[in-house]
Amino acid sequence: MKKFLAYSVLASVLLFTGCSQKSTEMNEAKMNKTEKSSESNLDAMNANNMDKDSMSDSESMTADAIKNLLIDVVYFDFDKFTLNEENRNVAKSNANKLSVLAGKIKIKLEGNSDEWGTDEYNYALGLKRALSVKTSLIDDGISADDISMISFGESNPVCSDKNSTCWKQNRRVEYKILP
Amino acid sequence: MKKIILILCFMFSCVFSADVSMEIVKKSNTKPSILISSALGAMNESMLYKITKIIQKDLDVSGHFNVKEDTYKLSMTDNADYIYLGRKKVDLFLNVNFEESAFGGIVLKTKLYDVNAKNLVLSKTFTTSNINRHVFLAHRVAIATNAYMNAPSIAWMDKFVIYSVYKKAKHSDIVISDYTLSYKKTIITGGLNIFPKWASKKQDAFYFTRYVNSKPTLYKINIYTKRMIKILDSDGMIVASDVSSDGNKLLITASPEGQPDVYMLDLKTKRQTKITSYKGIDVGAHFINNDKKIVFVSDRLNRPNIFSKTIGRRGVERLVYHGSNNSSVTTFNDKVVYTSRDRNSQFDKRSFNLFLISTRSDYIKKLTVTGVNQFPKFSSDGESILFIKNFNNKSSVGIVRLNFDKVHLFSSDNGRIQSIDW
Repeated sequence: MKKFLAYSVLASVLLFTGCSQKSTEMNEAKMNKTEKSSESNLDAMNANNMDKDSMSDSESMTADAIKNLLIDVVYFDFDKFTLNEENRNVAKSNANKLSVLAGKIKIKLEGNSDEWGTDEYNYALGLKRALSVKTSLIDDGISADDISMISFGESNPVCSDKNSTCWKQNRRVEYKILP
Repeated sequence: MKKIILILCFMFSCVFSADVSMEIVKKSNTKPSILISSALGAMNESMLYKITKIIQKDLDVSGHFNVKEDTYKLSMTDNADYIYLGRKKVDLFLNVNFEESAFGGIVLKTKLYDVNAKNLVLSKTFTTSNINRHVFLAHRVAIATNAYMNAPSIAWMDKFVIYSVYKKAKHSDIVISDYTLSYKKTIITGGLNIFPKWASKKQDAFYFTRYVNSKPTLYKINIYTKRMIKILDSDGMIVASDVSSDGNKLLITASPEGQPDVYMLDLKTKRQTKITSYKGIDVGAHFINNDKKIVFVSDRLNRPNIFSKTIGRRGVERLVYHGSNNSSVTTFNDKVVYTSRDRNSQFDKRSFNLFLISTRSDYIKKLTVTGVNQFPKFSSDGESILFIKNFNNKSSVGIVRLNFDKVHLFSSDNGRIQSIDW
């Protein structure tokens, strides 16, 4: 229980300090050298060798709560990250709803892509989509300090069918509201 | 006389305008034929059968042998029936057996016979302390057999392949395997673990991205000591796309300001240098020209395409003038292999195929024809390309053998492959 509390505190600290942090940072830890290189040494590996507690997501608002705010998902055209008239209106409408709570909430924008193309490019595409929505929010008066972004590329599909309608649902930016 | 000249001209043009496939046929006629057999009297026939099949596949993938099938069997103590094998047009006969050793290991014994010379030419023993690693023993048998023939090295078959595989939304594992995916060991689980990249040629450590409290974080982990260190984190995304030849510099796609650009990280001085700066997307950078230059993917012409840039200088150079959606790249000397959306594919309008070009000529060659083919990676000798293929809801690892115009596929049975390195 103590361990759980400690990780919760750590997660909270990371959440509230990390979201607004814009610069990359480097760890000072030294690397361990080893000469082993044969498959015969793979015994030492263990899939559970990492601290899972500190790695878990800590979303602080459920999907139901987001629905209560009536925030709409913003969808994008194939291979596009700019807002067209239709999704610009959606983003603007969302910004108006969120502006009521400005200063009281943090907004995390999650960019996603469909499965087409190369994965690294898709992670960048998801991020650029989130950036387009962020820019729209800022234009509508939301403070940049209250907005963070993350890209899940093609790793977070909401639909797995193989058709155009389904792929469009995956090319999206979702808003996660954090108190 | 005119007829003779015409016939000669025709024959001449046939010989000198021969396409690649004819060249392959010509080459295949000169390859030694080899028969690989599980020895009589095996303790564990099913395991020996598996090992024999892997050796057969390896020698087939090498492109250096005509691998034959026959029911001929021989015990390890008897001499080969050269007359029978000669009649079957077998040049080499490889007899394989194994014994289980103490503590769960195996000893693989092989005898290679030259049928034409009627001699036992190679007798070798291979050991491992864990029976599950019989796959690597089989690869070593193939490498040794290939080396005996003085054929170009296939030592890459013994290397680890590392890949990430999607399990469910926001979850992916990292797996170490051999190149055929016959041996697999999951080493990182829980959450989203993506873009594994070997830290050096030694393959004792790798970089990967893990989402920690929803923040993309780059780690390095030693696979033997399990020591894991945090390298960097970045809002939005972070990916280690390449490591310099000395292992001291990393090319990273990061987005500290929400803008994906290419950075170089000096691991000794910990200094970060921004290599590209563009308002769109710059990703997937790889070192070229002795690590003085990079190739990368950028959408600066509105669609993803392949560009190069000298580190420390302004300006970029477009590298690929074919296709309108080219989203991953690998290079070896003047060879460039990239993924291109192939609207002209007769098989699939959403096909992404691999193409090979030369920076020194207009040479272009299509390497794949169906599905979504991505993440190409040249082998260290530049003769093979590893890639991921997704087709008909099936994910596979592919090996292109450039000199033999052949693609070999090995399917994944544990999910869609996200990224790969070897």
